[in-house]
Amino acid sequence: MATNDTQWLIARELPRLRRYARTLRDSAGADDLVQDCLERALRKQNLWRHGSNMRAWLFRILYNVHLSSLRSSNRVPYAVSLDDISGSVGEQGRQIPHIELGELARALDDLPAEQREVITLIALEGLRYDEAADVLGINMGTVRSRLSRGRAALRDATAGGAALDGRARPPAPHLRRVK
Amino acid sequence: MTDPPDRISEMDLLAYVDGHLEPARREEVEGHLAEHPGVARRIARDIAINDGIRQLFEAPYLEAPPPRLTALLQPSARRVSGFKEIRRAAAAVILVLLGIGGGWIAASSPPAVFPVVEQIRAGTLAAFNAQGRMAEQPVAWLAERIRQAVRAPQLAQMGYQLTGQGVVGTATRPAVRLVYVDRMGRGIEIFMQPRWADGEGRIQVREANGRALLYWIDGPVVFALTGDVGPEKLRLLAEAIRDEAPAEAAPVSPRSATMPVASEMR
Repeated sequence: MATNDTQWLIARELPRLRRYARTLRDSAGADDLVQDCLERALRKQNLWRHGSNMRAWLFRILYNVHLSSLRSSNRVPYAVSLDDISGSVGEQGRQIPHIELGELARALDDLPAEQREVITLIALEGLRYDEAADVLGINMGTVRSRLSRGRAALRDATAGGAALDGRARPPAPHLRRVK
Repeated sequence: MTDPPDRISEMDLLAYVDGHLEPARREEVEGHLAEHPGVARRIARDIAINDGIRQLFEAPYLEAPPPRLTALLQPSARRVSGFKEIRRAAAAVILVLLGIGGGWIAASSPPAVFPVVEQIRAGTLAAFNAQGRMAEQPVAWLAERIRQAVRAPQLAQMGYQLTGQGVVGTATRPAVRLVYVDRMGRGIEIFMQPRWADGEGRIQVREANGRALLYWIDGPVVFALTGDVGPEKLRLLAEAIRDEAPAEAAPVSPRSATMPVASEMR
């Protein structure tokens, strides 16, 4: 019973795991990552403490699997597929900023991986900074500084060519850091 | 302890964008933004970027996970075999995510469609503005409607107390909704919808809003069961509810033929 209840709790996180994996890998690679994560989580499910945060536990496993596979393959795995991306958020000409989704996808793609990982984890999954720090194995100050630098880069890259607050737009970074 | 209102830090602004601030601090930040339009524009853009990121990755969240992932989470398959076998075995199962004990779900037979089940899955089962006996004693109303004795399932032995009842659905398709809660505060919902047919069916499983939804017919009533508990527990509850039905409430039927075979998980 307990085992199956734990598996059910794991199953409920599947859509979120797939979503976060998609920010780390391309489509097929993301499901490979989730599969490895699930296998590891199921093997180690007796290590999960009842009552603790299942989501954070699974995300930590997912991220560790991601890092170890990067180390073994030494590749840059991530690219947001631009095929189907269109549309925008916000409203043009209004107080609400207008963001083209395609532009945002490219800007995310250009971010250093360590910044993108923090930004997407917090934006998509609503994790607190201490939870995100735990998932990513870094301290909270590092979470904040990556978040801050990454957001500045995204703001500049999605400003539609217009510099914000009178600042010059820096060149977008093209080299991604791989752990 | 806290910074004075005029000392809004970059950390406050980050936390404001992510919605992590306490209400009092949030108000102070909003006061700060009102006085600093340049900062306010920047923060508004950060919030829009967060929204945009959520939109970019909406598809993998909404789409059904591929069978190779859901197969891993099929408990019975895992219990008896290694991972490779699990994937192979589960590839044949339609309802991999919710596939529970062996033999319980016949994977190849298409499930029957019942309005209450479809409405629960679609999230369209709204409260019905019932009147009179229907509103005050929904279960008694149901018994009258189907001309059979029926009562709210007694689940105290399984740790559940009835805490609420009502009528949902529409005037032409009403259903009784019963809410039970266990000692941990976890709730389950039982729906009972009358129908103009008789007979029995095995317990079937669907998914509704991330939770298992179990349903079956018992005479002239469609039962549906869902809740914040694992599918194994739901299955035990479903069996208890079904077996509890008073003899006069259901015609003699080959129930044994539709009972699940002994689960390999016990």
